Amino acid sequence: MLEAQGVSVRYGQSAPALRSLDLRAAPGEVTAVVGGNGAGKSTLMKAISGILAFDSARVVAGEIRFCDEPIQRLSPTARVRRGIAHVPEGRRVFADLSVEENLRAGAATVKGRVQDRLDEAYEMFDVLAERRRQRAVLLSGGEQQMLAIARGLMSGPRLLLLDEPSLGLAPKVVERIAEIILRIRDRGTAVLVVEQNAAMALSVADQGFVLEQGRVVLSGSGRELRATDEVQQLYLGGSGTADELLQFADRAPLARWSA
Amino acid sequence: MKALQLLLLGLSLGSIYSLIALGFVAIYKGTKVINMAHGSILLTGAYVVAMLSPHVGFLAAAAAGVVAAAVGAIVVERLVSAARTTDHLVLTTLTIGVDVLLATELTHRIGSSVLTMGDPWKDRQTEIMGTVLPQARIGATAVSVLIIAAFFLVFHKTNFGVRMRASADDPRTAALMGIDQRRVALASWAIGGGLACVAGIFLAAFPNPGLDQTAGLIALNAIPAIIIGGLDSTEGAVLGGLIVGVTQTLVDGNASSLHFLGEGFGTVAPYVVMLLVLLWRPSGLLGSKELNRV
Repeated sequence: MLEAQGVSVRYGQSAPALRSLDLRAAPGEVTAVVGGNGAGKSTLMKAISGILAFDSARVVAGEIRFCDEPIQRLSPTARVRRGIAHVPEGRRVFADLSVEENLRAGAATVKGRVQDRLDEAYEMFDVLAERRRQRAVLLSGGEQQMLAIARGLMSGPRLLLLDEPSLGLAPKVVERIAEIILRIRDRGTAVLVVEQNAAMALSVADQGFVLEQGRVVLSGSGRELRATDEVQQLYLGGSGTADELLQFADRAPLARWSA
Repeated sequence: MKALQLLLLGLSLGSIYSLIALGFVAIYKGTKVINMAHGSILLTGAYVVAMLSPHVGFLAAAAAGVVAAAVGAIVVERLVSAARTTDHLVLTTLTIGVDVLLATELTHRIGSSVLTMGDPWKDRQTEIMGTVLPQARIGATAVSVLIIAAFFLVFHKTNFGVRMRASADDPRTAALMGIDQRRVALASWAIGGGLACVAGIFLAAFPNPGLDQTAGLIALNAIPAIIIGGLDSTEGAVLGGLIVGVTQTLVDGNASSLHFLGEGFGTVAPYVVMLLVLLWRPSGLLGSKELNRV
């Protein structure tokens, strides 16, 4: 479904943020990309949804294909029409718009009535149904994340990109988001989730990639990656508790990986 | 009675400024560019109306003028966005250049003549509540109220409006939703241009003598209006326009007793109000606080 081959991305004239990256995501599967700050996770997402230009960045090498079609030259709008939805880092709900208007904005590419999709969203996220008339800025962080995901689903995507969905959220909310990710996967949607919170991402992942300095340094099934010593040490902090995760987050990547 | 008359006159003048300010803010929210060519676009639209009105009638000429101003605004947008930069300050500066070009050409065409709009109200006046008001100003108020109501209805009740507001809020995320930002830009500028033309028609109508080369400068009164209201607030633009109109009319109407402030203080007064508002609320009466941090 989604295939990235040898993709490199540069911001202006600076060193590449992604270096010859290979990655795939399949329908009905969760693909997790984990890595520290500046590993190139968000850049990867922007390259797929086509909004690199907003940051004066561009794909300088390689190819991104979606359903066997090269998509690099397509506008973000055309990519949404083909079934790619991107839930950006930091949720980015439209603060001044109501919950329902946010959802309608998510359905901007949908022709005709969107009431069925709204009903579906409210069924999946009941907390949004109660607050449909409220301005999005008044929602809690967790609720905003739910809204951002629901908004992404409004276009009826075949591939959902989730950028750091657990960032800054309480463990209980993170659990709920993990459930939602699995539910979306079970509808046959491909889910590509990038996370610093490797514990969460790998717990739901069918496939996983570890990114370091713009390169894939490790890949495998979610189960394999969870069991790998390196991932255990660096991203799951041995036992995988939050405190230890934080402790390891700032550590420099191991040299043997970036060779 | 005089106070009431001045207030009504001020509100009617203010409603015209509100249209200009609303267009200004629509363009700013849609593309984050402060359109310094707004006065020239207003002049363009009004010029087309004045030229066509004797031949095709006022309404058809007004419609053509609105279209011309909208297209003119779109051309300015295309010119500005062709610049290979995303720095909005540079783009804003570019609009000053476009303004000089347009204004020079139009001034050349208009010359020293004063063009009439051919509007149906002419110089008739009507008595309301013991005050005498020009019919053109009553028309201006009625049309402005209708247009402003339509503007808010469209922006709050239609899918088009949701797409525009989402883009104003966060263009990058709106693009992620598949909202074509180029179309948003075109729509914002077209709306701004159209509104400017309507305002231009009424600015040229009675009690003003008609369209001359200074009409574009009058559009500058919208600048204190948008700063008072808040650069990124459509409601603020309407409020700011009314405040400027009333301030200017009240000061002009009491010019004899305010003589110690100097000649022509009416033109300056809105800027004084603007400064006072800025001291008190830097982001304008209804502007969002975030603008302070930029």
